[in-house]
Amino acid sequence: MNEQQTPPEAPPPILGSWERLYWAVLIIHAVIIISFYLFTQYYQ
Amino acid sequence: MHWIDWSVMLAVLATIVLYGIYKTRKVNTSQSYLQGDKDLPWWTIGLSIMATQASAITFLSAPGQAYESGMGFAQFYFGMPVAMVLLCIFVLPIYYKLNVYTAYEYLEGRFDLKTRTLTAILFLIQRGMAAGLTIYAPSIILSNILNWDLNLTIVLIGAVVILYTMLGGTKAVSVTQKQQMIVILSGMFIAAMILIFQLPNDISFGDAVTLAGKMDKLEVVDFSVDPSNRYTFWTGMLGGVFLFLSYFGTDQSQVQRYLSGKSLAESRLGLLMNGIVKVPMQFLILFVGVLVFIFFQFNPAPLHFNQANLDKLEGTAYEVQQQQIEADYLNLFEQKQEAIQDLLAANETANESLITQEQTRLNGLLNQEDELRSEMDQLILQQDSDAEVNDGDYIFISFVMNYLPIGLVGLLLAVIFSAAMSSTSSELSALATTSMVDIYRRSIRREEDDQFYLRSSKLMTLAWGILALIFASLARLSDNLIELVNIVGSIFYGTILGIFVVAFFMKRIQGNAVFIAALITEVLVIALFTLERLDVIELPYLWLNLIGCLLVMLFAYLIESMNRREQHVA
Repeated sequence: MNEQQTPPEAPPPILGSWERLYWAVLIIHAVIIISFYLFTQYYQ
Repeated sequence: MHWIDWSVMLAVLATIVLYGIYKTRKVNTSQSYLQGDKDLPWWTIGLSIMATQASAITFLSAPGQAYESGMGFAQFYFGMPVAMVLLCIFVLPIYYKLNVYTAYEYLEGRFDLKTRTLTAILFLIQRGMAAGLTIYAPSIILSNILNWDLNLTIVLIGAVVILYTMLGGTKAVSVTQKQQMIVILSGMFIAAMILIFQLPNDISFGDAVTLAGKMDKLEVVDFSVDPSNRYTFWTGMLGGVFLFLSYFGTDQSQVQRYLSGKSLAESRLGLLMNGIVKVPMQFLILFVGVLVFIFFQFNPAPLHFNQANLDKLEGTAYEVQQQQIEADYLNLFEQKQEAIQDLLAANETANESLITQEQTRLNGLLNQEDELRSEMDQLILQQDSDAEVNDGDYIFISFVMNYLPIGLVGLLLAVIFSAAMSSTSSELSALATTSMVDIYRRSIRREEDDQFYLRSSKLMTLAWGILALIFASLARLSDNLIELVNIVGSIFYGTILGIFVVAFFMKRIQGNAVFIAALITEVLVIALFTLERLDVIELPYLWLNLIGCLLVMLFAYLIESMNRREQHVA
């Protein structure tokens, strides 16, 4: 295990910062769950 | 099986394997073999992570589960995107900074050698068993289709995976998984399309989905808090987060996938891709199962999906009863056609009481159908008391073999074998890497040259492959194969995750405290699982992940506090 010098953290290719990208992933996931819930309700 | 199907299947599989061997022919250092060359872009990492998790069991069991119980199993994956984000924030930067081969290597620096070794051993036990099951699942199918001996089939399938994983190491795993995932996704998409096109002319796709909903197959989200319900929003979001944090953060078969990324950013993007794509992908796989269910509402289904069991009844005293049950079923099937048409017509009127009345009628007929299935199961058991009558894992493959056009049967079989090979190869590579890096090179043979370690790594891959084959040949069909793998994982993952959570977030706690806490917790988790199996308590297995993790944290905290108090007194 060789500890290595970490280069400055590169930003993600979209949205400018990792924090924004994480929020985007979580919001997309919430939208998916809400869609599944509406799907469940509609076809019940 | 038609020769064209054989040709398609063998051509797809041989191309992938030979490509993998060719691309990794220059792997000649232990680092390249165990860690890769750290050159993978994010989308290859994402596909590799997905291919590692999606075993053949996923494609055999999940559609069968949707056919029998609906789509609630999708909730199992609800915790995954949250887990992916947490790993990107807290875990990946540490692994990259320390430049580790395995997740367990980090634990020695943080705690001590014995904690690292214990965690590596817990991983080796559960992953070694899981590797056996991932070979076993497709072996049952092929042995049933070809009437081959099960053990011979296990050896043949396992040998191919062992060959290319042993030759190319982790790089061979990544290289082949990209192709395997493309085959898998295309195959499942084509199967879904064929199912839609095979609906009767007067039934639209919308009618089919409506019908599935009325027959209780489309309940994806369940917010109830009934502890006996295995898959709810809560078990997925709470138990699931812990399971996936443990699986993706501490299971070497996954850690090894993203540690071979070109950079920290590429690895993060690969994990996030998995977080976004996995839940919809699982929804689609389950939806294929629902489409198979709808297909069999308009086409007579086998009363038992494992044809090998039905074949045993031929020429026996039970054959007459079998024919009677089948005749009763065909009669019921005709009644069901009328009831389906009436329900769809009632749905057009939007008259709720009429819809409920027709729904009740149809569900009554479905219950009668279930009774006939149970009678058939009883008949099989009377003829052979050792027969396994749970046929859920045979539903999808039975549809593939009997209703897909020539050529596509071969492609779908290639999907299942690709899935088996992709997850098994990751597991073998991870097992060999952990045995080598965390145990053999660390504690047994410390001062050898690189070629010695490269040769030893290859031998360890071979040894784990042989052990997986032995375990596969000893395994017997559980209630559901995918659940068996997840249950085995849940027994160990909680403890492993607890050790890592303590390492990452409870900075005061030292090696002795976490080591003892992990041992006590593992004993308690196994005890809880045993009590659940004996029906003494009700505890869905996903909760074992949460319980295991919390217990390690609690015990570690208490033991460390006691140690400090004693030192203080002394």
